[in-house]
Amino acid sequence: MAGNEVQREIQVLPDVLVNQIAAGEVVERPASVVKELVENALDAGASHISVEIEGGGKTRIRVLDNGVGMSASAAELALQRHATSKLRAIEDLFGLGTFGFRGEALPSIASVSKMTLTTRERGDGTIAANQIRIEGGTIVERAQVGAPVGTCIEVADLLFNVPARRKFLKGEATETSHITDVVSKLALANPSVHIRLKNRSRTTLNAPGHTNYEDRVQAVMGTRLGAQIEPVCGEYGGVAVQVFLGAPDLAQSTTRGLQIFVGKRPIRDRGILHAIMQGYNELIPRGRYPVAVVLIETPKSEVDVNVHPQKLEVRFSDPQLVYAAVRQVVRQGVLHAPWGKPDATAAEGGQMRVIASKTPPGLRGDMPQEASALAKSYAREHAKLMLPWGRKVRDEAPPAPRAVRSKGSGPSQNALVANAPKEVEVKASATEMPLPTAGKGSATPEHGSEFFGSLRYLGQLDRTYLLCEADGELVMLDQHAAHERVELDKLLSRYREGTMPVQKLLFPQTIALDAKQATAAEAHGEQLAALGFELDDFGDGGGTMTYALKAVPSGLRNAEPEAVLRSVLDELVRTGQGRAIDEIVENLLATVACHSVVRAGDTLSAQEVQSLLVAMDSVDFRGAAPHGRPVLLRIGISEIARRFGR
Amino acid sequence: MQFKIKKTEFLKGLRLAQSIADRKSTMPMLANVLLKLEGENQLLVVATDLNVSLSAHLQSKNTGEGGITVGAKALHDIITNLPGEDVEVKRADNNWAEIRSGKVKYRLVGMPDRDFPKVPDPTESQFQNVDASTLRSMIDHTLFSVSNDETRFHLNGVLFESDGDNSRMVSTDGHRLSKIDKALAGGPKLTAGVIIPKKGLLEIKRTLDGIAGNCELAIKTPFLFLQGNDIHLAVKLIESQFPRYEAVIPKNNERKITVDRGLLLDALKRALLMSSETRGVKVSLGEGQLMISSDNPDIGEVKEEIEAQVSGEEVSVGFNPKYVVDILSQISTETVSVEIGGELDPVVIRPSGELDFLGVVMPMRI
Repeated sequence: MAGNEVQREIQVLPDVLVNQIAAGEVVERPASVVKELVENALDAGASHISVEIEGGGKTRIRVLDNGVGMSASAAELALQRHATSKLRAIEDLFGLGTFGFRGEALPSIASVSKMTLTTRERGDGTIAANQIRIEGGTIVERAQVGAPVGTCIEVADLLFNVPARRKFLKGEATETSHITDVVSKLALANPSVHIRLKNRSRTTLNAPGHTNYEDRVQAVMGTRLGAQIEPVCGEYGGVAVQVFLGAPDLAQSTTRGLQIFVGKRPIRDRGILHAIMQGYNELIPRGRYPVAVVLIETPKSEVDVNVHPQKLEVRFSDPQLVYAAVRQVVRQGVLHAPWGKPDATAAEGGQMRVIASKTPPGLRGDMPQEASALAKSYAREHAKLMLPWGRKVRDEAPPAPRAVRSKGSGPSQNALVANAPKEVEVKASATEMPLPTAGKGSATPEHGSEFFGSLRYLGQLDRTYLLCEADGELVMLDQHAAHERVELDKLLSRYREGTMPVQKLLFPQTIALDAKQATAAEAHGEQLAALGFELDDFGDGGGTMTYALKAVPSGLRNAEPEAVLRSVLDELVRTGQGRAIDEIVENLLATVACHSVVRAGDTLSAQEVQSLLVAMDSVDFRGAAPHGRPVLLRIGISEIARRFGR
Repeated sequence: MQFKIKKTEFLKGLRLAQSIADRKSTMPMLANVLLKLEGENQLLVVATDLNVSLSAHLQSKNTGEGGITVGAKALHDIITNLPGEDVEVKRADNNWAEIRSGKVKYRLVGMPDRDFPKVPDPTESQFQNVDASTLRSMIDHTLFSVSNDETRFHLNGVLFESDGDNSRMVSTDGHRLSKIDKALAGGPKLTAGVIIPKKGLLEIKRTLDGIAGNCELAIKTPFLFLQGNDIHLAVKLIESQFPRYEAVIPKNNERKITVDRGLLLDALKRALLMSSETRGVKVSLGEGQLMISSDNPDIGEVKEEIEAQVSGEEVSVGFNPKYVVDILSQISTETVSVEIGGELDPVVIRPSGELDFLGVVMPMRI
């Protein structure tokens, strides 16, 4: 207190300062300005929104919409804090259909930039629009100008009056990429709105109004990515989930490729992220994240959006249900996705694959296996021709309740057409032609089919890989991984039949758990017991709870029970989900399976290989070995032909 | 430095030394054996892994003084395969060791003897004479149930208790326990039990194999010293608290079974063929018989009835059969008594009519 003796009076802050402080929350960087403005435009019912930026949005941001516009008085009011047309009572907050509601964005942005607001109300009768110029929160000019119906907001010199914050902005490229990100997200969430992003004079994103999400995903993600995206939707306990799943090959080391929307609102949510990861399960190695778009619709009253100033987080009244729904739908989608059996060659790009495992015999003749140049171009055209038609068929396919309906944009997928009339199946299969780009993520035989059993075994490579011939392609299997997969499946089904055998302990092992772990242990006591862990409360002391471990699963081999239990509990804490236990069991069993199967270097006879292949048909086979490595590689004959220059 | 030694004499020390020398250590020196001249007629062979140390005093003819260290395994294998009866070892420049026997000449890379770690010195300990075969038998009866789980190091050894007349060894891995009491006259007078680590016990056993009659034993925490047949062994004890084993040995299990040891052992071994590591064997009590069964969805199932005197109500108990087989294998009486409580209570197995030895097995829930 020594040097700072001046008694300071308590004062109500002036509005401009209040707005500048609020801007600290809302205006984090140019991208957040873009987000707020585009959301306002969407809330105004615009069908066309154009975003123009310069200098990464630091120099200029211009958002132009054809929404309802505002009257002169409304425009003045909108610049005041907590002035909004979107909320009237606190109850409205839980039934919100609009993006904004705080009435904070516009005045906050205005307080830290040079803003020009031009707006003309629809049905106004006049042709004059009202223009207001604000600098640093104070109105400097009001004028009437000519403008179309809608609102145009131009934000120049963002943070010009807060140099301390301006210097935290990154370079032009970084800020531009953030803006692109935000606009893409909004475009994904609002498929019917034409959204365009222009960086200086270059149009970097142009998504005309689409009638469905698939087209929008294609438009936003680009055709290259879009072709490897699997659309799936489903409903689970009132939560509707639509997902677009990227092939595992596209997995990235960050979560940037994962876009989650709740009621069209882009959000971040670790729980949902985890649910998606679980849905992909072993297909994506640890530490990598899939590319996917996840759209979640819950009843509006089930979501609280007023949690985060930038509304990047929401709270669900029943998060478990939402997570379960997402996991379920992603899982189903992954199981039925064409890349269900990953193909390393796909990652190399530009390669083709003839998928004809289920092509009816009549068609097979039409499509020579050694695709000549002519046949190739024919097929390409033919397939392109069939494509829109093929989609229509799919859209008409009866959606089973809660079942997953796939609308693959690439070659159709057998799971989907399986219950469609036979005639349709034949026609749909016609789209299963080699497509230069879409072919990569193309269909594979589904589970329960006799794909593996029908493979013709050619021989063993390096006593490690099994080479087989399928219709129009070379299939290579990792013998160890394949056998491991089969064995794991056996062990798992045995585990699910009943509980694990449990070894009681002579001396209960005392284990100190922290409060979170203890809660998880109590909450999932029964599941833990089913797995073989019997825990008894032993009393607590100083932040940790002591438990007595009285029995352990007998299948642990040399794994240490305490370490295993801790990892189970930590997983439970992290996800709050009982499924973690299943996953742990799977991992445990995977290590068991790993030791009892053929290894690389074992010579296998043709008969052994045949029985392995047959066994693989009955496996819930997701293409990856228990450790996340792929089991098989496929190379199309056409690719081989191409390399031979035929 | 140079010495001449009989091959058999040399091997007496090297055989034990090479099993102690630690090839996997990050300290390369521990893979070596120290050969050191003591006076004119004695060669000291030393090996250690820092927990178990061995010194053998062997008869040799020495020239000069000093010592050398060479790889224990290599030296042992070389000496074993030499043709003659005598071996000559000489230190050459740069710590090379030259080994000659008849017309064979080896040169081995060595390391300077001054870098060899110091081994515990037993000179101030009180050695007692105890019967080597009794000690050995006690180790045999308990070694099998020592835990291999390195995180529970207090279970990585056998508890040894001794009051000067009687002694006891106990071991457990948390799933089963074994305990043996023997009269061990002249044994060390200990106020509390000490835990002898598994590797130390294996070396003690190996050393005791070469000793007929008595050996000398001393315990001076944190070491156990054993001498006999010119071999000195120092074992670092596990400094930890052994669990209160007496509390888990049931005193009044109601169901008592007397059964032929061989019959039970063979039946369990047969059942073992149908059980995998995670599956157990079920033992059910019936009128005058035991039913032993096991099933494995991969292989099939087995059922066997064996005659037994059974008192108490019917019950079925699941076991890891290996645990029971381990205990039965340490029993030599014709019949054994099995005492069972409830379905999931610890089971006691002991030789009929003998109270020295008992095994406790925790059941499995199958």
